[in-house]
Amino acid sequence: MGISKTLIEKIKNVLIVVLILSTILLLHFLWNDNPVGDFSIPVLGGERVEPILIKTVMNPDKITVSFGGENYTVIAPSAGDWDSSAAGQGATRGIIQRLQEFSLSGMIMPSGISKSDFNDVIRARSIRADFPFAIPFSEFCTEYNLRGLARIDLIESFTGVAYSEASPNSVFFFNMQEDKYYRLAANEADTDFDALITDIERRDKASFYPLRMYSGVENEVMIPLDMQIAMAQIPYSNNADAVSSDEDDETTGMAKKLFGSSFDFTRKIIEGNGTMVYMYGYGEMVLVVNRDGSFEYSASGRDSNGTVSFFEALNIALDFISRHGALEAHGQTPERMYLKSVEFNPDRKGYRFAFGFKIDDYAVHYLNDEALIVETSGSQAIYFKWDLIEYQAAGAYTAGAGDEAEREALRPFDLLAENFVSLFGVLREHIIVNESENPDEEENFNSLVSTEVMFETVVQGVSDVSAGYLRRETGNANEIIGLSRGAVNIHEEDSTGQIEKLLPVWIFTIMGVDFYFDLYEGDLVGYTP
Amino acid sequence: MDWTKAKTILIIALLVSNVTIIVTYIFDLQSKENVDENLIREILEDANVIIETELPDYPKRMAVLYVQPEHEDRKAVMKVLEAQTRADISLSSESEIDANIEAANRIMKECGYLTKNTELSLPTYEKNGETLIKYRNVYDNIPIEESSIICAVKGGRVLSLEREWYSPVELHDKRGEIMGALEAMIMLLPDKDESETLIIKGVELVYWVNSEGAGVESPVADTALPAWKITDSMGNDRYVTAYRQR
Repeated sequence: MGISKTLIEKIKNVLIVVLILSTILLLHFLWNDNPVGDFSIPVLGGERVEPILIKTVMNPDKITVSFGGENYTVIAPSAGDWDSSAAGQGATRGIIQRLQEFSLSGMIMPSGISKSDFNDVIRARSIRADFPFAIPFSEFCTEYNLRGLARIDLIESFTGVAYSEASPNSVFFFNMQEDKYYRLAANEADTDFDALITDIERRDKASFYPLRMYSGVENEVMIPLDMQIAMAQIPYSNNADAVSSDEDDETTGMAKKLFGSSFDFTRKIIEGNGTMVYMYGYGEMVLVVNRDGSFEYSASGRDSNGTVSFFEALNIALDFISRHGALEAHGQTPERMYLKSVEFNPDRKGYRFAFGFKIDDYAVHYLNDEALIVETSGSQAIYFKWDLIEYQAAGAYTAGAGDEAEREALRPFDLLAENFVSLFGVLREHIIVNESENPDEEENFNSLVSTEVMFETVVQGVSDVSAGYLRRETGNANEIIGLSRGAVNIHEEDSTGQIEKLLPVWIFTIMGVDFYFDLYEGDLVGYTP
Repeated sequence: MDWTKAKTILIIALLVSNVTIIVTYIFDLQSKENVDENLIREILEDANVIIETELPDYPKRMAVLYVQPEHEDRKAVMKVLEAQTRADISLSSESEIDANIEAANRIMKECGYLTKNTELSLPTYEKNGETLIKYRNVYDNIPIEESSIICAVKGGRVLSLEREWYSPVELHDKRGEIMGALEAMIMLLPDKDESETLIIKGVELVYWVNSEGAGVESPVADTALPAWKITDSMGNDRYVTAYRQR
């Protein structure tokens, strides 16, 4: 018997459905001019990317509070001290919120003031926030909605902002890089900065004093007398062993994210030392994956017609970082990240942003590079370098946990006093090497100098003192290793022969050179010119 | 209503419309290619680019080829060259060129360089009284550039052997769209002097390992990309990546 009529009808039904779908598909190719080979079913959902917000990463380096009578403290800004909108609901209003209130105080008169006037004002009950980089003033006012201040064109850029009870209707902006100080005075201001000062006063904190009080040498940099700190050596890994040419590897996954659909037509080169280079076209996009686990990506930028603003460029950089998942791939989070330095490149009409990471408010320092760098040109990111490490989550090293119990760190002034001769020697070597850049200081360094002059020179040159972690490099014991930026790593081999631990250190910045001292043992473990 | 008859008519109508759309799409594609080709020829003519060669057929899609640079054992090669005897050198072939080629083949075989990827490239060249015999590196009938072996032969004796070689490893699993030779010639225009007349004598699709610009000193693995090798009347070779830019 032949095929039954019912079966034939069923076949016809299926055929009609198939032909209708194929007609739709063919019309899609014909009308949209899409090559058949490029057709693909769109992916629904996809990977959700959490943006990194400016307020998460752009915070002051430190907040210095004077309680009057030469009593000071310096705190790492906790969530909310600078911008309470970053801390969430219920947080005490931060400095930004009080600046916003101040900016609505009606007529505001700007004026330049001298350094000594500024220092006098700050000695009274006051609060100041310092950034390690300069921020364009008018863009800052626009970004943070300081409407009443945006019209002020006296201030081009600033590195910090302060309030003092000695001048309660004013706020102060200053640029430490250019040695410029400004006072913005309102007729009447109801900003209530004092409440913030009182709030900090009530916290458990260390006492700081200006360096001049310890040394008799003029220097307003704050350093603590004593500090109980719970910091221990923290083991870390940098995924160096995970770098391979395996197509399923995380490394390749990162390359695919950067190159997108071009990845499959990209040149891949593997060097004898294990370094991998991915190159698209004639070098329009290049990714170098180093054997030590660091990555470096560069793209030839399109000719940019105009410069984007500081904050627009920062948003471009943060967007680039979040879209390519560099943080997640190394177990890092945006909350640990902070903006460390900013440079403007006029040739490229863009910025170079360097980011660092923190553990429990203590910055992790690298001897020979930065953790994460993004360069922008116009509206695109053209360079992205990252050398991230993984370590245990914040809070794992708090007081009371075995070896990590709080203990007294060596006094930073004592370290300075005991080591000023060797510090001077390093500075002399550095200054002579760069003699064309420091002609005024060369005289001091080239002649035989007394210990008093050495001491004074070193102390006067101190621009910052802080505690943090140092990422050292592996190598032979008791060997001074010259690293790529001229940094010097001085270390001793530990019992395992491996040195992949973050070391708690005091960091002294003296004439642009960072010196690292073991926080508890006092040894000089490295420096970075 | 007779649904059976209606379904049959509907099926026939859909079939006819599908075939019509397919034919229209193909004609549209072909005419677009023709228009593009004519436009490109005009642009090249205006830019003083004269094409004096046939344009080859080419696959529409190709994958990149992973290769491994090979470093020769110079001592072993020198040993083979020095071991050539009078009997090896005697000109048994009818012509000197044939004898030289025979000698080169023999040395290549002794060195282990005569493989399935090796292809003799004719014609030979004369330089300083020596015949230069070139062997190309070929994968799936497509040459790998810039990868070759050059034997300098004189009087049936191989005087030297220079080898730049990439061993093909495997093709990537994804293929990309390849542009035509004419489109590739357009890519030469930005680097060409406007007043210069460029006469193109040869066009060939190759796998190309770009030896410049990578900044890598001693790679152990590399990638050859499909590229158009364009030879001008002066004998200069230029390479243009054949993937259509995205």
